[in-house]
Amino acid sequence: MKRTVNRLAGAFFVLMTVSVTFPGLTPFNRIHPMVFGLPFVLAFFLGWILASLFVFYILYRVHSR
Amino acid sequence: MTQWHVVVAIVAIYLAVNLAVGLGAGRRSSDTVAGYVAGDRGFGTLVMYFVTGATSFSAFAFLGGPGWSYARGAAAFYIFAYGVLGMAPFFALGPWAARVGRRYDYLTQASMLAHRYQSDAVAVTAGIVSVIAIIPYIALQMQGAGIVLNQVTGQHIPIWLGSAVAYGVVLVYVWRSGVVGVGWTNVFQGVFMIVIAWALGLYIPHALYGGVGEMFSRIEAVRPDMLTAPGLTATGDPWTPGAFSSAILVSAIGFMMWPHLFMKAFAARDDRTIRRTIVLFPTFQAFLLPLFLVGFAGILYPSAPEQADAIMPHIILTSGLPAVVVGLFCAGALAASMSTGDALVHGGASIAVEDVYRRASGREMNQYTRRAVIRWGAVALGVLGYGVALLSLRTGWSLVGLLLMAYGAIVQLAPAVYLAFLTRWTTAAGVVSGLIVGTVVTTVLILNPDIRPFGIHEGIIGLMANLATVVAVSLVTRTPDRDHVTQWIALSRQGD
Repeated sequence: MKRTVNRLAGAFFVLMTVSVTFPGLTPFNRIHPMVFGLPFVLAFFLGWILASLFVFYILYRVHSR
Repeated sequence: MTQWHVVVAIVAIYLAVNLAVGLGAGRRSSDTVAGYVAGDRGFGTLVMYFVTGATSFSAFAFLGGPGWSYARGAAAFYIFAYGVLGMAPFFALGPWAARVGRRYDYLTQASMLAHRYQSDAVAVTAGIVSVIAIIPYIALQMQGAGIVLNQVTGQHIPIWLGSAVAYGVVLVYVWRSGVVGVGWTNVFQGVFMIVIAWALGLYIPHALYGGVGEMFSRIEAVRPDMLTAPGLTATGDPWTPGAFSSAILVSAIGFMMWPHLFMKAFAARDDRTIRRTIVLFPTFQAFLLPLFLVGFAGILYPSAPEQADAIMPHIILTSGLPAVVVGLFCAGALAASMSTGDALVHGGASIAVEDVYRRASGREMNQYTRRAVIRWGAVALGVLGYGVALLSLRTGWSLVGLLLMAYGAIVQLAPAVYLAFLTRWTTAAGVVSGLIVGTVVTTVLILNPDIRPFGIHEGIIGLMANLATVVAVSLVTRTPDRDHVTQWIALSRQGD
């Protein structure tokens, strides 16, 4: 269980690294559609930060059993 | 009372509260060196959360964040990406370091490396690199504090005086309370930074343009190039995708290698506290968003400040906000500066004494002498930083340029730290030579930026040279005591 979650979390952060840097960022590097009034690419960065909060939380739960 | 009197009154109250919190916190720790440097390893989640957040986001983030989005647009988003990425490895690394730290009484990152690699040379090299990197960082925080106070009081408070008063307060509570003073003032300062950033960041776009969406639509009509990555350089030319991407990577790798941040792993009460801090870290980091919004608001603003980093005080001073708000903003900016500056002064002095002075001089010192020497070291670092800050203002040297060099050197600690936990074959000779080669390569590339391929960050290239050197030298040298290394690594994993 721990191992699987560790690996999934690792995969999440690798995916995050690839998609916030070029060339991975290219398809998301746009102004429209705006999200909550923010340009799409800014909302995309914000989305990763909020998602990482969730991933850290799952990791924490699994490790504090 | 005129506006600047109100501002000074609010700042005075803010500084007095800081002093009270910082001095009062001193009762929470023992008078041992472990109490002074690592808070008797007793930091709970509240203090760890604010220490990590408020320390990692300095005056550079608070004033430079808006400055970047104002002058360079989406280039600023790189700052948004690297914090979480830099923090993620610490979910494993933090508890590993804390376990060996508890067992072997480490107080600093360099003392951990020295024991793992069985070599004083590792501590002295890592310690010297750390202290040299910390000095321009302290100076930059001091300048930030002085400049903001000077701007918001209409030049009534000279820069030298503003820096001296703010950092006088810092030195008093660092002297009295050590890391516990740093920790509890960071709670107060961190709350201040977050509240001010969110309040102003949501209010300003609304008051000036009727909302965040309206603001971005208007920017899109005139400057669409500012709204997509990689944004612009400081001179307004397009930034390169390679530079944007490698800036994220190098900052993420270097983020937790800053010794004053890393050593907080030794101050945490237990593994759960470290992990909880990491879980909550993104909520602190999100405060960059409103700071970026203030900078974007500046793009359409009718007047411009002299320097891009002054955009936030410029808008606040010229948009008719009440004096109380101006005062609170100033206190928020001081909080951003002081919450980083105090950890740097404290951490830098601890490293200079524990890792460099004690090992290089070979002197035996008892607990109380060590603590006293660290206290004087903090004062000396404070005075030195202040001198560098004033000198750079007078001569016009760029401290940001110096800080970039410092960051380039700090990133070079990464192979030594990671390989300590992940491999058994890495040797002291390997990490020392890697550290030196990496730092030299990075510095040469900073001084000659045109030889970098694709505009890739000099730190990344230095890191590759560093890693290659560590591997090559480790293969031809031997670890003196393999059992020690095996036990050490096994201990770090206990309870994973």
